[in-house]
Amino acid sequence: MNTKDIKALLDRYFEAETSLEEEKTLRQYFAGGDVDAELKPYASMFGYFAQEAAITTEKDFLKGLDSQTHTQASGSSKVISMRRWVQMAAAASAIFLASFLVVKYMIPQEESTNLSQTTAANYVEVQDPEEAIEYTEDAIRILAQVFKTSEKQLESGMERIDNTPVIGAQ
Amino acid sequence: MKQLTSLALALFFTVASYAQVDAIDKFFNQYQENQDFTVVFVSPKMFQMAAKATQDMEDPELKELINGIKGLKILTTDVNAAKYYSEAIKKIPVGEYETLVTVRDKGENVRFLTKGTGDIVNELLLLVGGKDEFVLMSFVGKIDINKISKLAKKFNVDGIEHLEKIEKH
Repeated sequence: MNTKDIKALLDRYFEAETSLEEEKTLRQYFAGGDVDAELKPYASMFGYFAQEAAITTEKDFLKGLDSQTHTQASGSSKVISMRRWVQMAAAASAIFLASFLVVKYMIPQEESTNLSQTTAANYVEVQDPEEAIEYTEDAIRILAQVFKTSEKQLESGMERIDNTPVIGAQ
Repeated sequence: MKQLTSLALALFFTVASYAQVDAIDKFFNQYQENQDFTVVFVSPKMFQMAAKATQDMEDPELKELINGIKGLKILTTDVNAAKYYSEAIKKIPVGEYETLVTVRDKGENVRFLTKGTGDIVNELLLLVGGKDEFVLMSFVGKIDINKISKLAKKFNVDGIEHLEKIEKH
């Protein structure tokens, strides 16, 4: 192969237009001893490529790596991805914070009650258990009473409805 | 993602339940300073302490009912009763409750609102609004509706008498 052809191939090589075949030709040319003086600089470049390509991993390199990871995984400690938990925790705290803020600010609060007024005559906060029972008993009595009255009213109401003459009925 | 969604839902309902308690509490807080009203408040702690004192009560149904209650609030007035009743209906999230009884008869309104499932409810609200009386009662705890109706048949008390105790204060 003459120098002119090689030059043309090199030009195409640097334009990345050469085929694999042509690249092989180039490599063979530069690997061979009689390189044109003009093309000498390129020879060192191709020499470098060849040198680097010659480097290979040990035969059992990947295997060794594999067994190493396996012993780690099957050991007493397990590798757990924290990512999911961190995500969950972050989301939970964000929602919690949001709900807290909603409760605190979005739901309008009453103006703080004035304590001296709160304990005014009509406000009874029961402080004695006996009294508490009395009040509760009364409350339940009222409840029962209203229950009863409303039942009666319901009955009388139903009677009224029953007694209403219906047009068309005999 | 599924857990996240359920978590979000759970928290949402937490907020919602806060808001509900808030609505009733707010209603009470609003009126406890108002001189027209009589407010009675029995705290859960009081009920805890009262549990011993109910031991020697005669009526087993009443006893059980009282023991089930964890909190009681009463709000009552005889001024502008009808107005306060309609205000209460507006401000209380009625839709979140199940209506047990509604009676409207000659300007007299009665509403039993409950929250919970079956005969034993977690919350019972009684609203009475008439020409001359407005009553709001809030019971929280475990309240057996059947026991109340049983008591209703047993008691033979007259109309306003029962309010005397509360109105004394």
